[in-house]
Amino acid sequence: MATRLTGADKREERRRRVASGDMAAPADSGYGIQGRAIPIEEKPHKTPPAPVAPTSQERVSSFGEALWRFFCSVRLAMTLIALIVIATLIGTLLIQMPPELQGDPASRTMWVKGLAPRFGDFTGIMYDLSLFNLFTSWWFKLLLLVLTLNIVVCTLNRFPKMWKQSTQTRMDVGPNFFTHGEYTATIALPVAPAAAEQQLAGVLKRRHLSVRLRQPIAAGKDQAATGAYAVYADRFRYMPLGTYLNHVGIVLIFIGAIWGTLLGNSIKIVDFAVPEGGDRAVGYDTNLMVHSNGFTEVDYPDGRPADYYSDIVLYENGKQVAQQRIRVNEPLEYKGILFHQAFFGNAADIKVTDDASGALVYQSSVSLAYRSQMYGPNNPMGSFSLANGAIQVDVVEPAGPGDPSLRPGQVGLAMYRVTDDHQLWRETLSQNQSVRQGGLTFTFLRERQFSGLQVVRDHGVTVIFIAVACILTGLALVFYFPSRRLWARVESDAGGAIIHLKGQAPRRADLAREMMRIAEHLKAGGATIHAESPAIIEQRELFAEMGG
Amino acid sequence: MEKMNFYMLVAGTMTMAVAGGFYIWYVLAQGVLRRSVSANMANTAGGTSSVTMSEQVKQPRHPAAIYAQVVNWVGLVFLGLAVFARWMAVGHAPYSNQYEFGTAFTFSIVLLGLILMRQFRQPTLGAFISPIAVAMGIYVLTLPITLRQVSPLIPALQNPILTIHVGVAIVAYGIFAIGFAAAIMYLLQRDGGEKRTWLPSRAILDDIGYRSVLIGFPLMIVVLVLGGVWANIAWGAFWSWDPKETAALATTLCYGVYLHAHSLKSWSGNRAAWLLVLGFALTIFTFFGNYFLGGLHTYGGV
Ligand code: HEM
Repeated sequence: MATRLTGADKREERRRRVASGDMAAPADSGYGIQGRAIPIEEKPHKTPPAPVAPTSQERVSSFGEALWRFFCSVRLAMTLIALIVIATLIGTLLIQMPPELQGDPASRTMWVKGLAPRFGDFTGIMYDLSLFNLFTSWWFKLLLLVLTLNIVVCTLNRFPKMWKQSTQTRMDVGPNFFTHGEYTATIALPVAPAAAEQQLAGVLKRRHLSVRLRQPIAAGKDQAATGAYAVYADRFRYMPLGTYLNHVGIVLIFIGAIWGTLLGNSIKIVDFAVPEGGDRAVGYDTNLMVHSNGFTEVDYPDGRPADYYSDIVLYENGKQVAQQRIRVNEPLEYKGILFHQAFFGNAADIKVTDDASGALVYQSSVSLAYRSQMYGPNNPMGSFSLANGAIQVDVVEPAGPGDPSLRPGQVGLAMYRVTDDHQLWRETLSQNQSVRQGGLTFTFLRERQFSGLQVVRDHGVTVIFIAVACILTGLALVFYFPSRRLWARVESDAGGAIIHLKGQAPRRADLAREMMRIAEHLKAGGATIHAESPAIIEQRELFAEMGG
Repeated sequence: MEKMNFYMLVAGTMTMAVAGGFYIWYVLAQGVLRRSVSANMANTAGGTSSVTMSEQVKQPRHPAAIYAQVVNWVGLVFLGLAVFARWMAVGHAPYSNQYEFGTAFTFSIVLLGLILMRQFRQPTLGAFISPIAVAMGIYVLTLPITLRQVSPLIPALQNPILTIHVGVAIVAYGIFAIGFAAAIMYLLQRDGGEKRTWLPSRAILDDIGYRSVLIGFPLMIVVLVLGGVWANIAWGAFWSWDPKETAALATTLCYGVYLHAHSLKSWSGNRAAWLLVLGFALTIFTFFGNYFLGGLHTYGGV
């Protein structure tokens, strides 16, 4: 169906073509089509095939070039980020292996076997694809690594150009410059060009632009130039460089994460249980010892916890160095090591004596900080070793008041041979009850509570904070200080002056509105608007309709 | 106060439904009004790239737009009172369970919608934003009654960082709802040929969508960071791939893809608009994540 285009349709059609990039970019602008500061490389330029066979050195350099170009691409960036999004979504929807299992092949296999009813035959494949430990898998790390390379190469590639664009703008431009572009206007003033130029500069300043060029155009440079002026003004011209701060910040995050886990002398103990009145050494390179003066839980009347805290004393080389009541939101910090209140539970005081000599073999509080399947599905469990680690004794308490195998106040003891995990015996004990086994007497003295701490030293966190500051500053500079520039050419015209205006801005930055306001200011000073580009007209229509 | 919160929420949701009706009326009327305007323009305009401006015509505002805006403001006041009443009732910022969070989310959609409509002079947006707000309001009202009862905070949540963390998230989610509305309108508006007179031009809709991300993206980063800071204090780990924080990261990264797409010629336009739709879908996924994701965020008896 052939329809005739009306003027409005043609405008729309043209805007569409400009926006979709069918039309040529102005060659003199250095900006891309939508007034963007950096024309992004859409497709790598294909190097024409060489007429003669390339030498090996040439081949290497062209391979290097191709690789470089590959890593420059913003499309690659989008693809990588999209892949990461998909991976993280899988990671949120699929159950992930608890971190404490990852180091132990046996319990890992057990855990995966438990998934078989849910995923059937796919379980094995899914496990092989690391879908259950996605965030520590090699392919997820590879994605992050390629992304980092992408950012680094892209930044190195574009920085010189961006820097040049921010520092050396072309300020004097020829008359043809004003005939195309998304943001142009022609405005007539009933005064001489010199006065019009004065007026324009005033308006630009009032709109917070810094006027950096006001200069008569030399006669003879082009024929329309007699009595003409060139004006250039801009605002926030360095702000687009914030992009680099942003992307450097992203790279720093990865560095921070690696720093914390690999390079730094980090500490991460997630199951640091200290019984009330007991001590426990931190280990690693520290000479720290944690002593708990007690754990307290305060409940709301409905039984939900209102507050819980541990009173902790810290000793270094036997000397007290810190003392604090630690809560969930109030960890103790000493020399960069943080002691967090993380969990709590019961501990059982166990005494072991040698039947023959009567000597004390073992006496301590055993924190029941783990879970056991020995008696029921979910019994709190702790353990201690005897005979230089050859023997392990597990201590279990009831899973709850309704536990069929253990009554409240009882504990279960089970002894294992560590070499083959063989259970030697198993007994249930009430308070102050003893059991004789293998020439030893085991006594359950009493129950108490333990404080479950998490002990962490992570220098990577500092790097991450710096990274985040970079990212947010960079984004703020780019997003909220919109860079824009404006060129004007003031010519004499039939007894008055005519101003040709053209604006450019990366990310458009409300430029249509800005140009409209400038025109309005000039209009208030007696000017008439001769022509405006469609984008500005559209703004004007909106403001006319909905109020300024 | 608990009762007042509930009644205000009911009133706010109903008022927003009425506002939505007026907005839709405005949009329908706009179809006719605009057509005559563009016919006028076609008569005066030349076929050149720049159009000579004749006397500027001051268009009268259609009354439906005014009714819609007034009713919208009333709805905002009701929802604001609902949030305020809840705050008073629980004695802390009211975002500790899905009921409170949802109430604040509804308020935030309506408030940010009004601000962006005012900024871009686009009442048409209201026809798309109000239904989202109403849907969210109805969802909150139909939540189990146990969530409406005031219950005290568990110790881990008693931290001002967390209050800011959730408060900022509510603003970010709200602005993404506006971006979603703009993207839907963008996709409805025709690309070439005769444009739909009852919708703003694609250029303006693209601007609105982009603006929503310029605000929402940095806020989401703030949300993630504050979450990390809090987790670092409370649990000793800045980031632990907790499902809900991971979902929030995925949402943020989706808008990151959008920011890059928007700057590529071949990806701006329809594809960028679809990314805004996807981004909001992920936002909703994150918002409802408490239900099926598990992890540290399953607080407040949801
Ligand atoms: C997770 C990783 C990334 C995030 C969160 C991210 C974030 C951002 C953000 C927020 C912007 C908008 C600010 C601006 O326009 O200056 C942006 C722009 C940009 N990014 Fe990224 N980025 C990431 C990765 C990359 C990578 C790998 C590249 C390398 C090709 C890249 C290249 C660019 C470029 C060239 C721009 C400027 C686009 C324009 O001209 O408007 N980004 N990025």
